[in-house]
Amino acid sequence: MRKSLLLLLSVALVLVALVGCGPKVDTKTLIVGSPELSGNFIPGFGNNAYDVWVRNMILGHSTYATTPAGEIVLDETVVKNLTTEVDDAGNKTYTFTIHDDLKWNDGSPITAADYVFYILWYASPQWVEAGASSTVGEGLVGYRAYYSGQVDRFKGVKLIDDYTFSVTIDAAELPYFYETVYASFMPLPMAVWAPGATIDQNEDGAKIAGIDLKEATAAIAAGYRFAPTVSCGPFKFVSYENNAVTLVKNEHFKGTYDGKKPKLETVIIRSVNQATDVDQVINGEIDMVTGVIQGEKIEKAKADKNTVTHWYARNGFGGFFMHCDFGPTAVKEVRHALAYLMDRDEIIKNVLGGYGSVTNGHYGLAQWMYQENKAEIDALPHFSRDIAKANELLDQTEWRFEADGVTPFDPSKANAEGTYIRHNSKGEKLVINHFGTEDNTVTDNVELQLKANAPLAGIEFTLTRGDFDALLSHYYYAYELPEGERKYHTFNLASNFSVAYDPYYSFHSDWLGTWMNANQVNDPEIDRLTKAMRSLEPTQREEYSKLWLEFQKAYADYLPTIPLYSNQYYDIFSKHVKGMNTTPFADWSDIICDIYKE
Amino acid sequence: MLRYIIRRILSLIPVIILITIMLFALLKMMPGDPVRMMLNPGLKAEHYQAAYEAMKIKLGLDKSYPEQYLRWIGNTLQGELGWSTLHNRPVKDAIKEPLKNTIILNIFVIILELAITLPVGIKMAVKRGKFYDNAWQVFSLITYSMPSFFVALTLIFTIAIRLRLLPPGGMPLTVYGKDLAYYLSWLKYMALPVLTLTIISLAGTIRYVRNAMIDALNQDYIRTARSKGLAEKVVIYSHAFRNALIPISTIVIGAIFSLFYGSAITETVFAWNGIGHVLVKALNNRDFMLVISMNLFFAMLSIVANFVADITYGLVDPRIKLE
Repeated sequence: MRKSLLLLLSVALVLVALVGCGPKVDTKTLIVGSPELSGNFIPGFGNNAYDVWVRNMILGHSTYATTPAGEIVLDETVVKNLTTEVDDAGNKTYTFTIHDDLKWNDGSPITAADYVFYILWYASPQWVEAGASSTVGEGLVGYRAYYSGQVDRFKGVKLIDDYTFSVTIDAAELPYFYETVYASFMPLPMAVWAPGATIDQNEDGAKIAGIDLKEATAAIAAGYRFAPTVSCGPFKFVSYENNAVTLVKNEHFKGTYDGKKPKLETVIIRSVNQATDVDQVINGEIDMVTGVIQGEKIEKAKADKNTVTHWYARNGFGGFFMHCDFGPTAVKEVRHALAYLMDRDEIIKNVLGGYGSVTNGHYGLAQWMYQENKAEIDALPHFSRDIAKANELLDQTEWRFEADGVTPFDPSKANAEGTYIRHNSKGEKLVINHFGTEDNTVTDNVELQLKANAPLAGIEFTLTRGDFDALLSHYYYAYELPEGERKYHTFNLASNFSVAYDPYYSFHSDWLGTWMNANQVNDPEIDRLTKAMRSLEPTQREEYSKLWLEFQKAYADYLPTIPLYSNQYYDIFSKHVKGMNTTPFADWSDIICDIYKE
Repeated sequence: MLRYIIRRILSLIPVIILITIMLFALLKMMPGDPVRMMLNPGLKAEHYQAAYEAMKIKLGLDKSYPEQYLRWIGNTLQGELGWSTLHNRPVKDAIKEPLKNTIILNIFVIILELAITLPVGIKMAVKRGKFYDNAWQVFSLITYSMPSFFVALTLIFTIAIRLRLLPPGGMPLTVYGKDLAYYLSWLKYMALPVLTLTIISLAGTIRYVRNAMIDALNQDYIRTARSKGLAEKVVIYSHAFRNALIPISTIVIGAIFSLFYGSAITETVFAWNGIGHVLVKALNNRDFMLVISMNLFFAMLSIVANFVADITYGLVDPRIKLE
């Protein structure tokens, strides 16, 4: 016994002796804890949010940049001169002259050919064949023909000289309020990605010459994308090993759109257990974790004197999404009635520990459109639990009878047990089938509230749990399901807004029967407004803002989704970390040049 | 012996074929669409369809099930384990590093486990029914009943969070180069997962060694040895333990093959980039090829381990004839 104890003791001593044997972190190194990366460090291969952090830091020098306030601006660190010209057909050409002092991190110069190469590579069918997915080049003249492989030259792209190139936006896409999105391109190191390649230009457009594009794209997809060492962002990729990415400062980086350069020497993103991530910040094992939403963790961080918290409102929301073309939720009054059967403040309290807010439409609290129309938006119907109101709305629908399909439904007879349910004249019950993901506190709370409240309005509410993949199938791709397999009317999930807020793709009837209009919204007023919003010149900000307000009112009236909550994202970091002024539009990786340690 | 080996190998072939068919059938019965999981959610409808079709062809999912099965078997025989949809790279590349990490972790666990269980098990048998034996019996009963996540979280809470002696998880960083400090930091990061895995594996092995030793100590030749006046140590280690080693050898062989098995729960709790953790992620993300390849690998490993154990039994115990 004594010997065994001695053995155990000596093992413990060895372990204790190891404490502090690891490398010491200096103030030039930032260690960020994250969930797991997938290791795809160039765009086109999945959208793992933590891979995107790496991409944000190693890629750079796009023609346009997004500011922390969510504005898209011309990057004058990159673009020396920009001219635009509209031809007789209405096509608009952006001609960029880039500065001649931009460099790759290996010291070689960045030229206009690298920008053209990026467009031609990412829009090529060979790149899709290699497993990548991309929308680069969309909106430009000749895009469809090039992307589909009908031609090998991209008509709307032109290499003019070493530092000048142009792109021509198709007249069919114009006017477009966010048209600069069509002209926002980054460079790719052509000499590294495709050694021996050149840009061949003639009147039919530009093409990549001198290489077998199929072989070259396959080679990049198979290997280089996991370790893109040559890039031009503020940091340089060094390694991705054992779920940790190491980046070092790019000495050749010219600066961000506002002239900032990195202050840190090294950035490490390492995978940590999410259950202990905040403890690891408090213990000094890592410098920070970001986007924390759990109230318990936030409270713990706030209570530690060596730890700092900073929060911003999520540019998106979690909601109760409904299919507007199927079953009872195809009826507007039913959708509104459901909104009156939930207590959203209670959900925020239960799910987010109070660290969240509610919205009443399809907007984020940080969007400039909201700020400009705050008073009117805040006056939109604020749904709260009101059983009487829900019954009043449902009495206007076909489900206003008892089981015999003749006797009017009497709300006073409704009970929590659900023995008294609404029927239509055909004797069909009012049933709402909901689908939510497993291990999801929002699903738990939706179940808690609707199981209790829906029967009081005569609704039979069922809830099925499944994994995210099943949710995707039933929500986004329900139109693909065979007849009879479609059974869910409502779903709880979340959605984020991009900086270029264009609801056309999500709600216009042009996209019925596709995954993009997943709610299957079909409303002439929403069609009109979403088209009108995008069909503005970029300078028509005031008009856009007015249309946006009209759209929000139409959305709140149609109500394809009941917004449930909008998170407060907390960045939790050591007191030694400075400059962490993240916003809904700029996470830490976007503002890496502002961050330093002392 | 040679005939026995050949016969055993031949009899394994239908077993292996059956396993591959079952695995493939299970894979195809699983709900979900791996192609969808891989695609960029921001794609417009027409691009999405093109990318979807291209990826389907790339993964070979456009072929019929028998074709897909034969292609999978053919590729596997050539060492091509398919494409991991989660990692967006070949399965063999996705598992290389985690497999290495699991082996490293398990080497330490096995060494520690055998270093503790062999002497303790022997001593328990010798001191059967006494305090030493009873104390370890209680200990092994408790640890046997504890789930690994409970042990892991308890160690994290006490050693990592409260005492701040060791990191609560993660992997060593190479940023400062692969110097002595780097290799020592491996021990630091491995300490808690190794301790967890050792604690939960002690009970079974201790009891196995103890029982084997008790059986050996009850044999007539032990009584003979004692009556010859041999020292107790010689009786225990030279006579009893040597004979007890025959059943224990099964455990040792199992341990050697278990080097490749990852502990899904422990690796996940400690964010250890091992094969068990990778397998859990793959299951959660419908990474069918990775799951099926790893399951096939583990199934093959079990078959080989059993086969080797049978052969070894015949080698270490001359009384057993392999026919």
